Amino acid sequence: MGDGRSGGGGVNRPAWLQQYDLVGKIGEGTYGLVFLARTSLRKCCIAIKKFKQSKEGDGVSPTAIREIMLLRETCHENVVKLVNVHINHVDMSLYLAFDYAEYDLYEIIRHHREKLNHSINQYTVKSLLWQLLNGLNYLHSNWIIHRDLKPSNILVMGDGEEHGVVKIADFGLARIYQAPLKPLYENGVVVTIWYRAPELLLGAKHYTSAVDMWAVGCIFAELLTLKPLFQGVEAKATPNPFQLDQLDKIFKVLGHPTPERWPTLVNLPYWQNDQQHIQGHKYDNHGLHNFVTVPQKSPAYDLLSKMLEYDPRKRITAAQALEHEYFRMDPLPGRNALVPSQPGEKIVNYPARPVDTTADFEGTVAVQPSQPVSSGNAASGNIAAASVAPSRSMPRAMHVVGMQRMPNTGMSTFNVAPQAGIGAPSSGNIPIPRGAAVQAHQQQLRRKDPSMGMQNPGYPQQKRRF
Amino acid sequence: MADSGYMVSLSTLICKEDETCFDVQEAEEEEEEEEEEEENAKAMLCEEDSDEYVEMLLNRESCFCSATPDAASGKSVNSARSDAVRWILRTKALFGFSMKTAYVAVIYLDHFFMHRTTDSIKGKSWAIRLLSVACLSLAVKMEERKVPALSEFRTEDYRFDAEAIQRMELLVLGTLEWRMSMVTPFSYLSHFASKLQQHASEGVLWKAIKLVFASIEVMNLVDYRASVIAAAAVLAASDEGLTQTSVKSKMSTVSSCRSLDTDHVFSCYSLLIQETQKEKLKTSKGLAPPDHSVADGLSVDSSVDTDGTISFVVASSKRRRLQ
Repeated sequence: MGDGRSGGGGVNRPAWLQQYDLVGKIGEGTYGLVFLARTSLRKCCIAIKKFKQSKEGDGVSPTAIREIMLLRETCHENVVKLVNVHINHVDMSLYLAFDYAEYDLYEIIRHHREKLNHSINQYTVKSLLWQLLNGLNYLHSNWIIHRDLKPSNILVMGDGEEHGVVKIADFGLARIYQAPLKPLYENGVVVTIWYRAPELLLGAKHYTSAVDMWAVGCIFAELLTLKPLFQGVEAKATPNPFQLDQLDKIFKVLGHPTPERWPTLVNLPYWQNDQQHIQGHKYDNHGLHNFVTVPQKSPAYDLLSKMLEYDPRKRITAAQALEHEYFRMDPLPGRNALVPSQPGEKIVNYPARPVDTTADFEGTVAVQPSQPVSSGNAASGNIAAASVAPSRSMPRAMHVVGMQRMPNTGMSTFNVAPQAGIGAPSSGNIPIPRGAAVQAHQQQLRRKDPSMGMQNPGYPQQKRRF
Repeated sequence: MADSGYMVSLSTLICKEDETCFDVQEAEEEEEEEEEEEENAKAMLCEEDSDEYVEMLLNRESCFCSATPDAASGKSVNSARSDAVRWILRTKALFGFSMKTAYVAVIYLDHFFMHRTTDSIKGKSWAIRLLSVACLSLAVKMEERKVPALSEFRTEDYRFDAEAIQRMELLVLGTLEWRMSMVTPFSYLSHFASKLQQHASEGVLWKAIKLVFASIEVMNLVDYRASVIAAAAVLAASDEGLTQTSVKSKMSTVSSCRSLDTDHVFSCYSLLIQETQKEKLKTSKGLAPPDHSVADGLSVDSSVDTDGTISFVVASSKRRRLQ
């Protein structure tokens, strides 16, 4: 390199990390690594996602550009908050700093299933679902499809001002869609198969926001029963193979789809060529009520079956779901999903996220995260950042330039906070909605107090009105 | 630099050859290409033209644009920019990228120029070239299905290694604060055409797109909002003789156009008309496009400092052109 700095190994931490105290590694995925750190000044917890280096010669990875771009455009209480983007100029790697969230739905569900042996209380289920839908409604109103919703991507804040608040995370596969019916230019595998919508499994090329709603339906069922609703075995051959087993699991529960109920079914590639004889296969003894624990006549059951509607055009939208009767009846959903619903009820102490303190910031120590991996769940260990912070304050912008004992690091910090839209809550101003955010902003205003859910979103009380 | 004169003239010669080749090729394939472009352009036009969608776009757009036409126009017309735009358009054609990709690359370029003084790269044609490569490469990553390796972006005059391009990409991303999702005029065209015209036809849309691209070399894309450019292009495509008053009255009939500044629309309209007339004149006289700046082959290494200044080191001042 011609900039006069010699390249560095993995020994020295980047200079900008000096504003953080590294705690350890908390996650690992195809995208890279996630670390837990505390800000040196305020001791806020920060999750730092390090992007894997893109292939040599490809430049900045498109996934990183898209994810950061989307996070820059979003500002919502139920969407994970990007605090900083750091660039390590030595190896040009990217680090994203998020508010840290202690829990996620994967761990919460697992804790109930494996440790407590009892279901999640109805208030918590409803609050988690309402907030998930609220965040998703915001994304969809901004023409963003998440495409990879699964329990491990739905984070919940730990102790602090935002205790029990849901944050949708991991936008690695998310896209801004141009128009509802336009194909998204994407060929790879999208969405963990257990949560993948039937139209995608049948080869649909056009993604709509309905794929996210299917995933929400699966997550809702899992919150109720503590086990994944459709546990298909993933076929892993060609880049995007036909997932027969996953479809089989769905049909066994919901019955065979018919062109009468789902007119566009006949246009879907895998249905059309019927190589696996999916059209002729007979499924009986079906019925969602046999698989979930809620009464067939209850609003919860009604909402769930509307989310698991085969025809994506008929599937309930996030906005409609938020207005569903289920959310208007007791117990009403609240902002802190983790508080006990009845006074005197036992508080569930969920386990904190396991931290591998032996890993260094480069992630060079090849130690498996101490997190137990439960059998067969593709989602495990795939933790994506984000959340808590006793106060909503965030680290100031720091331009840490190649420091004394770090001659090899030239990190620049791009502080997201002062930009309109991402929100600078410390200013006390209402963040200017970022462009597209306006519609959702307005919808939000109907629902929440005008501070737009930053410092004092005040939604438990308001919301409880319906 | 005793031999620099020789180098320059040699390169000029080589580049002229290249250009001639381009011209011949272009002439041969022009018709075919035009058809292909038109198909390509149709795909770019947004099927969704609901009022709700347009509203959302207008809102997003308003958060991006801060420059007024007058404030930036001084900077807008400079040869460095034209050179960069020409390279982007040429490379787009070479790879068969969509028109939107090229347009987005030019938006990145203009946003970059808006945020940074061009002093650091003024007179350094290699730096402009590197910036063009980075902007196009980023646009391709945002818009295209297939993304070529950085090494495939050949420039006639310089060779950049992948690392230099990646550093420039990071500088552009940082300068634009990672807000890479750009609203383009093309998303509005169908909507405006259906509202501003009695007889909307695909011919008008294609003409509007061509008008925009005919002016892209001189029109700074941060000077006008995408919606303003779209409205002006639709008007210019259907009628070349509008006055400020008639533009104003046409605009007032469309609800989604009411938020647009009619002075801006008229100013953009005039620019589009003026540029097409220039273009017509040029083609009728058979003039080739102006020669782009050339220099000897340099291998350029670069770094981006934390304070955002670019420093580039010219590692070798002489390298044989390989083709």
